[in-house]
Amino acid sequence: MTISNEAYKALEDIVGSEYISRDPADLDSYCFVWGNELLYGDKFSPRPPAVIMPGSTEEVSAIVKTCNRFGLKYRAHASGFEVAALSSDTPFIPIDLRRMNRIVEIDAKNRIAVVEPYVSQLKLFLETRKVGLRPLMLSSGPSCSVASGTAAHYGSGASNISTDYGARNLLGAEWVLPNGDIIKLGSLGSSGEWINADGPGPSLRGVLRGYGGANGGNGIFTKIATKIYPWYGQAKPMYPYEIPENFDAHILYFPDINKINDFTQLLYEASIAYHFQRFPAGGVFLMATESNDETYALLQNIPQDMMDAIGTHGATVAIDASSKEEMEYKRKVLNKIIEETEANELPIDETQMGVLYHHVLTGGGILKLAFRPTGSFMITGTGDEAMDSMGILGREAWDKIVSPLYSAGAVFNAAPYACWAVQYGEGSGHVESLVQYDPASSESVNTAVEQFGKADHIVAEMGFSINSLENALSYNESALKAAMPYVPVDFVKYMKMIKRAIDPNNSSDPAFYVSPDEWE
Amino acid sequence: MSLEYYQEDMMRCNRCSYCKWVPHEVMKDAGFLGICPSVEKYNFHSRSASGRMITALSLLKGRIDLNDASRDTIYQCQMCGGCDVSCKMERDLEPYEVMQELRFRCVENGVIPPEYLRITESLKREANTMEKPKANRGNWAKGMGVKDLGKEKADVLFHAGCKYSFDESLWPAAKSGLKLLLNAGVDIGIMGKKEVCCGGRSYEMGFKDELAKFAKITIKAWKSAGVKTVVTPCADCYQAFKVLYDKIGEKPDVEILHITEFIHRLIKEDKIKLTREVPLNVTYHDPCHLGRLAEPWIHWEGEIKKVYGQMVVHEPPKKKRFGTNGVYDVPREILKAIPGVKLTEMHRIREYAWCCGSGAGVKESYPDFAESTAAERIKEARAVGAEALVSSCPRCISNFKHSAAQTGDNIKVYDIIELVQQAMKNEE
Amino acid sequence: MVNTLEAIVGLDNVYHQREILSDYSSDESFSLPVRPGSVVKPGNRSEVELIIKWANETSTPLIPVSSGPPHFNGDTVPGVGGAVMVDLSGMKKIIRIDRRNRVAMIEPGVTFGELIPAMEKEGLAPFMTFLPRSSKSVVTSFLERTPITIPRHHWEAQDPLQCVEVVYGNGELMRTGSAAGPGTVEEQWKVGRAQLRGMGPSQVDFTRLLQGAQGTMGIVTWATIRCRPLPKIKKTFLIVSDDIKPIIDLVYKITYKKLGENLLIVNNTELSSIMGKGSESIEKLPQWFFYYSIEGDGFFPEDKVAYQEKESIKLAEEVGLELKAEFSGIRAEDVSAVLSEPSHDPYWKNKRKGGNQDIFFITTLDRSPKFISKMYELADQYHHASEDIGVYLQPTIQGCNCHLEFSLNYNPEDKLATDAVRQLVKEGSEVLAKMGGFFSRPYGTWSRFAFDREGMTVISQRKLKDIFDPKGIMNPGKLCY
Repeated sequence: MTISNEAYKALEDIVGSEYISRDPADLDSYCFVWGNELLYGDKFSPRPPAVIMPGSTEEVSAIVKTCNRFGLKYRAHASGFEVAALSSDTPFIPIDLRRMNRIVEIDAKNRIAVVEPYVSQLKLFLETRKVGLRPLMLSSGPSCSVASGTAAHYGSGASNISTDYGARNLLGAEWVLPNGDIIKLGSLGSSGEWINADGPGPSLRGVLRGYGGANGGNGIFTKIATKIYPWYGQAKPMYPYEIPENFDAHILYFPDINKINDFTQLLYEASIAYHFQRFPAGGVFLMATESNDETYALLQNIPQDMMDAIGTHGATVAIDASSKEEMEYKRKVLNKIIEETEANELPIDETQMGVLYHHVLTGGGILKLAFRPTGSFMITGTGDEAMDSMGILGREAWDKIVSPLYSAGAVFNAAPYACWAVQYGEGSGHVESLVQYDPASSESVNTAVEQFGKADHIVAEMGFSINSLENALSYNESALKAAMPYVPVDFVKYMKMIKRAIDPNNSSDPAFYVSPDEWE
Repeated sequence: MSLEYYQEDMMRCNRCSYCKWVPHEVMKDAGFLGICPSVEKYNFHSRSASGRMITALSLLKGRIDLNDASRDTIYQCQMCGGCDVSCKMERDLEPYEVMQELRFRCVENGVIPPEYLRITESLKREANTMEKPKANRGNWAKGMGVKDLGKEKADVLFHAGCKYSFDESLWPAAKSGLKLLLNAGVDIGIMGKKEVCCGGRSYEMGFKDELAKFAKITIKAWKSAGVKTVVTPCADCYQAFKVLYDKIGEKPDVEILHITEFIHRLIKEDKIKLTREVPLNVTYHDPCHLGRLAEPWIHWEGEIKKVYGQMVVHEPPKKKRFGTNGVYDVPREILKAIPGVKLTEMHRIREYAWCCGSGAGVKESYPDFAESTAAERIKEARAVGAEALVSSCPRCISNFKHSAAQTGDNIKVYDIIELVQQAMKNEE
Repeated sequence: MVNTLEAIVGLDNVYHQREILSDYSSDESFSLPVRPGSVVKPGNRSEVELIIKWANETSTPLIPVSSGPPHFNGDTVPGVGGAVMVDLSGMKKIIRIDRRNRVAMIEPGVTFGELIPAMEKEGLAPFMTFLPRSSKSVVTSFLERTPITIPRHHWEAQDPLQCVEVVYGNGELMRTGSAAGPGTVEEQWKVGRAQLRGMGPSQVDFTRLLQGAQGTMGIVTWATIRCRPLPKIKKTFLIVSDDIKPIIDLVYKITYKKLGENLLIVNNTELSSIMGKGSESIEKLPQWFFYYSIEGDGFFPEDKVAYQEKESIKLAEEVGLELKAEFSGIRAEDVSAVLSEPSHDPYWKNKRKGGNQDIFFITTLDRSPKFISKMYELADQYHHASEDIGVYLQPTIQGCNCHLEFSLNYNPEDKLATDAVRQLVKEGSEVLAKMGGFFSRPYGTWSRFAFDREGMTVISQRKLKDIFDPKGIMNPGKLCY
């Protein structure tokens, strides 16, 4: 798809020639992202007609209006680190928000931060740490934008047990609607202050996103307000891999799923944790090695029975405290919970502990874990509900979807059970299975594609959830199409009605949202 | 190697954008997080290492041609290596090598910034990158009475490098450096007008044959002169001799030292005494070619295989170059040894230092880019409260001075040799 | 009309007697009284579906109400004539209490008084709002985003509401959040799901679109409410001061350290009202009371209470305050007992003077003093006695913002006093809004200025209204519809 000279000039008039391009070498870097090979059989999705970089809300609004005028589709992204940011079978104009990278305000007293969309989790943490605060930290890693976890995409991660699910941290937004109008959510619209995102009346935050975000399919968020949380560690940055003050961290593994389920519930109710995630306990070894070669050497020295024990029902947990007495209490409770649930502790050295902390505090190390072994990964068997139930989903999805890939040698298969799960502050939990395939191997890719093609149906049929993050990581509504025969209420119809109502021209590309068109 | 050799790396790039930032583990200040000057200035993803890996793949797949636009995408980059450090913290990829191969491919196809033609012409005719007559190469050392190793022999060769040889504003530092060693009793000489370019910069620009040519000439000359140690004040030359020659199979059989390493040694041997107060609040800029790019080359030959299903490993195991083994501590120890000097570190240092901006032909072909990159570094120096920016590379120093003048910032810029000399004044 | 409704719910559940209709035609607010055409009391969801279908066919406005009287906000007073009141207060099933997942599924007619003992049997307790009336619906409380008194568990505005089953104004059934599917609710229980996650399903938050909607989108027929384990130990305190600022500072410190459970601030008038004390006691009390509880459940509750009490005392000392078990004859334990249950009848707010009007909005703790000063200034201007102003300050969203509420007690038999309060509510609210008070729950005349400044919100909400209630039968005339 090409863009007319008239349209290109109109867009260039908004941002200046420096911030727009239609050179193919520039454009190809906006249609290439991990996961593309699963959707297109190629590293590249269809090439966009142009790419543009606004520097302000007003420029975003003008760009969106111009796109509407010329019938051009667009979709905005921050780090652009996922297919949900960059890929579509319909060429669209990627709106790269890199220039909108300001921390607008940190209200330390009320623990609210206002940021532009490109601001990363770690960038915000560097600033909030100075005033004894921290933002939520998604496990997509420190480079991911605050906006993606709170508004645009999803929100699960290392800090969920103490910062809740990402979307539930949103306290306000400035939002360019798909037709270019600007709406200020909640108190921002009423009183001009960043205090609360809900109201007046029914909350439009419910249109901004649901459990999953709209992935750019319903406009562009140009500022967001997020809740920030007490940070009891050092104010100054810590490195390399320093252990923070006032923290304890543990890697545990459990004899069976019931014990880890019990641990999860007891930990949640005790309300003591800074971090909690369920994952093969040996994951830290992967993060603490410099290369796959080192990992391989290490794994070869772990006996299989030990690998099975630590690699099946594992968890990492960290507690923090603002005082000695608080830490004493929390340690006592945690030790009791460990004892009650027959958890074993994995002994790790100081370097590995430092690596663990870096991961706990920033989501860092995720690339080593997920991408380094084979070059790419994808998740499947996702669900978000009562944690016990999600634990079973993890097991079932593993058996039905992932195990065949293991047996075929089509993916990385060292971990006996690579399921990841977190507990949210509001009480529900999230689970997903990690599948690491090689994007440079057509055999690996094709085998993975075949299994993933069945996954949405398998998960829906089991009755645990709607796969692919309830469509937030689903392409062209595939997860919804697979699930809806099992869902008694037609919510998709309403999603489409909302899409049509706020985006009459379907200008915000809906590849990872819902299209306005009814299903046949 | 070839561009095709790295195709799997290109396909395994996941566009995480870590190549744009200092490693997250060492991020200190929200205002100074970027490591890639190219993407910081030009913003489009194509200007990052990931972007260039994608460009390389596009080229291999015939999706793009090499033309003026893609040329700029590829060449608006100082080849500083910061991206490579950040990427390798998490991945087993070789983005720097891909970008290097991309440049070789551009040169093969004649798609290069037009300014490069002048440099290559100068190298061909005058054996230097400065477009100056080779006959004048030794003029900077006139009157110093130092041995001419074209005719005599000595244990140590002082290789000035093109920049020090022909940029008169840098002659005082070059002279001071040589004088320090002479006064310390080192048996040292220079090649004078027989000295040729190390070939390092042109290699970075994409001219690999030039490196091979100058490597042969240089090593032969060293053999004839019987030198055991080569010391250079130029970070580019240091990296070329120590790393690039080894990389292309021409590892010289001599000790290669940067002048800071030699000075450090002489301080330890008590042959240089730093006694005079130099009251100055400084920060130190790590030159790319003395730092992360100067990590010794690691040769590897073997096969890539899959284990545990699809995990990619090397047989035999391949050690990664993280840039950690460059020259970082030596200059710092020298500065700390100077009485009165207060050393404050910037936020981006050592293997994750911000580039000065002048590398890989950028100073010549995209001067505004070189200047803005240097200005960013000066801003960082100011942000940590320094009144002076010190470095140990002539191109860094020259570019900082130029940028400071352009922006009106009156920050002092010093070659480390100058500060050592100041600290020794009483000893003259 | 009447006959058809009777066919749906049975003769005994349709009312058209004048005296009954009168009860629904007005409330304690100054909303224009409008008599409904009839009152219908459905007993289950199917009946609700049929009622709404019928209302669409006949273009009859429906006004849902789940709580019993007295009502205060005008949201359940018909905005137009000929409306049918859909009174759900008889739908009182506590469908399920899930101890493991700390969630309960209840119908809209369930009150706090009914829920508390049912939960206690399972070792759970609901999150309480601030001394709700005995007839107050739990579901409606949280549909209307009424804040809870334990800010630490109030992660965000939606809490503690999770999923709902709703019949939209267009007659269609929806279950929100994870309750949507796959599977029916019963099938979900079989695989261990608990309708525990309110956001969604998928990429629209259907629960959130109903909250604050004042029944203008549809009728909720059950909801899941998150709850907490019953505490094993509870210690309560009063912290008093004539100046609210050190109390606010203390609240910030306490919420920063994530201490305590119940946490709210009231003035002496409000406390007297809560405790049923006469007006004469108010003068003897300091102006401000911070009610604070430290509770423990699970393992080592006594350790938790001990360290938290020690830390709280230290924090209070930093701002020159003290934790007290009792002050001036008022025991913290007694306050706790009162606040742990719904209000006895008559509703406590009406006890002092017979009548009450509330003004409430969202702000932040540090901004509150300016609003409080302004309120007293306005009261003076409108000749409303300052001792007749109750103030309730509830930290919300873990202390990130707060609900600030003024209760204007007055004698409804006194015309002058009534007029004064009417003016004060109407004009004073607008002054407070202009100062930055966020009227997120814009009842009655508040909707006029709440929506004024953000036209895009109005446009967008009307689009939603057109989707879920295209014929506009649900509670017309409310909000911006």
